[in-house]
Amino acid sequence: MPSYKYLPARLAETLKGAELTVRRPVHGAQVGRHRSPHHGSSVEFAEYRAYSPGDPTSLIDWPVYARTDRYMIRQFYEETNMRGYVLLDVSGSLGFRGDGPMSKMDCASYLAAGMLYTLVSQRDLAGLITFDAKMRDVFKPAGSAEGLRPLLLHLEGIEPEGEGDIEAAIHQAADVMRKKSLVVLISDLLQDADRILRGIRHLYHDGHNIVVLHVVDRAERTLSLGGVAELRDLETKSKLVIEVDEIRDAYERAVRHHLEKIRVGCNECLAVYRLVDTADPAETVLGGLSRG
Amino acid sequence: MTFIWLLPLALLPVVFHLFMRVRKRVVLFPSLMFFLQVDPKLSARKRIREWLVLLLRSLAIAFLLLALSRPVWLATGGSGSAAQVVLVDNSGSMSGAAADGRTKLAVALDAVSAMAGDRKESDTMAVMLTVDDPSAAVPEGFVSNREALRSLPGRVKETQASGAPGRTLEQAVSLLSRTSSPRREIHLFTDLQEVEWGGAAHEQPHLPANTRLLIHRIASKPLNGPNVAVAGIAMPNKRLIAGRRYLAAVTLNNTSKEEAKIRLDSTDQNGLTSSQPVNVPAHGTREVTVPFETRNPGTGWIGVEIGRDAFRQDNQAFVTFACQPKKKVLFLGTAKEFGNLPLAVSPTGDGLLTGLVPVFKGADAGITADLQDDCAMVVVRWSGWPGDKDAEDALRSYVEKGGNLLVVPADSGTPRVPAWIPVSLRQTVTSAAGLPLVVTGRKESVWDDLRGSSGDVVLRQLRAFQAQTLSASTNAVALLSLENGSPVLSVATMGAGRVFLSGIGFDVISTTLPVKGSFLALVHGMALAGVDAGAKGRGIMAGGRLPAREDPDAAASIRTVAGAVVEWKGKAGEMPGLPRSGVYEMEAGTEAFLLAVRSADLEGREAFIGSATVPVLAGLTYTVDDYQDAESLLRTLRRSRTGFDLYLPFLLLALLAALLEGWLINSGAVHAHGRKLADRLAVKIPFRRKDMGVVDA
Repeated sequence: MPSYKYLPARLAETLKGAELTVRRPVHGAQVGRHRSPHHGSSVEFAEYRAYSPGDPTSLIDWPVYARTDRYMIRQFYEETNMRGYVLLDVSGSLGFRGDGPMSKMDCASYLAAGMLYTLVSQRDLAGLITFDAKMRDVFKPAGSAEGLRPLLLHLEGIEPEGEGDIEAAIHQAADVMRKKSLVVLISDLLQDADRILRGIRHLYHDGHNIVVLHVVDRAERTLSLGGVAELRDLETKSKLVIEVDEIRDAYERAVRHHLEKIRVGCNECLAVYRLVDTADPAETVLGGLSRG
Repeated sequence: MTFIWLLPLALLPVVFHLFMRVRKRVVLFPSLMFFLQVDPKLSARKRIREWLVLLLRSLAIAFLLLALSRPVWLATGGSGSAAQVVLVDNSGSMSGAAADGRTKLAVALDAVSAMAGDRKESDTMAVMLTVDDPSAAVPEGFVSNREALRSLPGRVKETQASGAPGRTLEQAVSLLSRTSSPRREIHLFTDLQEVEWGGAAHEQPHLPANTRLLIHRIASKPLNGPNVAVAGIAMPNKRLIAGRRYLAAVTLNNTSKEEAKIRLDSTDQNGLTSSQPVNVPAHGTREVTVPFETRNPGTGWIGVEIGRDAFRQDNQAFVTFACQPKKKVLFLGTAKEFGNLPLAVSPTGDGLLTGLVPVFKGADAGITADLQDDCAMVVVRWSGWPGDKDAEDALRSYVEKGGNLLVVPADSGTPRVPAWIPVSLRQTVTSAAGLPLVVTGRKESVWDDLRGSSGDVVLRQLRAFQAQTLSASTNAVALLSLENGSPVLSVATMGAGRVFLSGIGFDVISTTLPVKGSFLALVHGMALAGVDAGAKGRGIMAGGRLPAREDPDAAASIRTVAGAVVEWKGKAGEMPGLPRSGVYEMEAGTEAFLLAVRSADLEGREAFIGSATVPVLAGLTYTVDDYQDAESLLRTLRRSRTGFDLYLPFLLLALLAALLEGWLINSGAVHAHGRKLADRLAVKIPFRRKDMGVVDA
């Protein structure tokens, strides 16, 4: 496999054996390793049901009939592959680089590439949707490493810019994604938490398995500046003059409050939430997801 | 300089603030949402607090400067000693009548006397006059002796001078700035005459701190009739020599709306007096001549005085002059060769009546030694020029230095016109009946003694029987011409002197001129044309600056020759002003001269400033009130005397502003510290938002 900027050989090697599982059943077109909402012919027992005329007699569980004198049919879960969509935030705020070794955009791109590769590696389909205030680019799910090529190359050309609106983008993306898929949201989630959670609940309502990778820089969380500074918003370009030492405590409290609210909201939607520091290696983050 | 002038420094915090804004660190940040969650009104609060801090800083500085400038609140409470400088306008206009009929000067002096009697023991007072008057004997500097000040009305007399407001105010400020009194006042008693106080403002002195300038305006009563002032005395435009009688021109100016019928009296140093009635038109001027004699060589003077007008202080004027001894008129030739001319120069031949002595010398005789200052004129015939070139050059040099040369026709010989003579002879005309002669150069000074009352030259029925016409020249002015315009007597200016060129002989064969009375006047006009150096005497207007002396430490004296009496001795650098007209003998070291002083002619103008703005004091803070009487003045002064020293209140205000500023600027840190302490003690306290500033992009 050729090496890409955001999917170096080392990362690909690490993720090769990774196994990403989901909690909720998913729709799939082929046999896979994920539970389908339909019953099928897997080895995993699902339930018993009474025999109905027309059912193949070969399905009757004869030992049960021997014990109970009733015709019962034993059902098994169907196992299928899944579609995974990576929703990648490319708004201007992702261009920030503070104390970490890379910008938030680079970090998010590593995560997106790794996630796409992990999905394809386990024979699932992986698609990519980038957004800022609305969807920007949509790549249909691909099922092979060769099919990932345009997605990975696209990641290398992303320039973060523009104002973001996560909720609006999620609503828009939900219309193009098939139900009961895996949605991996990679963003810095710099929006009102309630609005973000409204978008996530939309995904939950559509039956998606949700993974939220919240990318932050340490400088954002701890406000490592000092003295008087004029801050300029990367998205809105507005200015703010602050005395950092005076505002630091209140700021950190507000950030913690935001993070906690997002985390709790994700849990309510059965979403997997990971706070990713730009200093964290992508292998570690994605490996953690694989282990569950 | 006082601290109050440093008040703009209170803006320094704002300047520093704006300067520091530029140096703020700019940081790109992903989102400002958390900051705005901390305080949605962060921008407004920050801005308000910033400007509040700046305001407090500026106030602290301003209050400190105000405290250092030691202001005094003059409304209520407290008390303190006062230093008062009272300026009395004693210029000529103050001798006019006030509303109560007394002179305005008397009213002002009464007020000063009342102020002196009413002041507290701890107060100090000085009195100054806007016109320096050596006879007033006003005590110098601050005086604590009440009686010395209360007796002023008897000593200060009316003057004929214009005051010097700026100079007097400067002296008052200088005097006040040397005192340590917390309260200082300058009181000015004046009629605010426009010519004195309505002019352009000059550079004004800075009033010391806590100094009030109060102008007490004394109302003027209209003059009871027209007023005429002596605007000037013009001496005759000719050489003044001893033993003659001349006429001086006096210019009279009527400043009132009706014709003035006055009497003009004159006198000179010889006791020659004249008195004549003169009508001066309303708002007009009139020139009147007065006679004077120069019996002896040296410095003389003339004095004139107007009578019967409504204002006396601008009625007198004196002028001095210098006159020379008798002068000679040098004839190059014999007496008979010049017709009646020698007789016209001096009927007695010794200058007894005319001051001119005729001297005859042959053209070939040496004349260089005769061409000195005592030679009023040289008379030469067209054919009688000096034989040698040196003599002719000396003659030309004599003219160019200021001498007069008269060239007349000759009975015999060949006329010659030297190259330096700008006019030549043209043709001879004869007429048995006589050709009428007309005066052409009427403005020339040679005709001055022949002018009538209208100023025109009176010279009638003058005829020439035999004459040589002269060429016209741009360098010469024709004095007499034939009726056809051909000049027969011209004058040309050469250097400082004049050349009179005549085509008519001064005898009865040539013209009727010798039988006319005007003959003498014309000849003498030519002989005395020009002005001797130093003939004009020295003179100033009353109250004007005396001529500066080279050695200010030399012994000096002033003695009255005519007019107001002054007897003064002292140092040359300390000579007092002369506020009244007269003639004064001034001695300073080895120098002695006569000085004429004339009254200020504008002091009688009835134009006074009625508003509260005095143009000449522009740039100063002052108040103008209309003086009523001494009692109401004292009542006002007593009320303002209870002042309150604002030093301590302003100092406390500065301290308070500094404390508030410190509290405001540190309140964020205090709250942060308190919150951390509360967190440690697990006590929930409401989070105090810190303020910041936001600037829209």
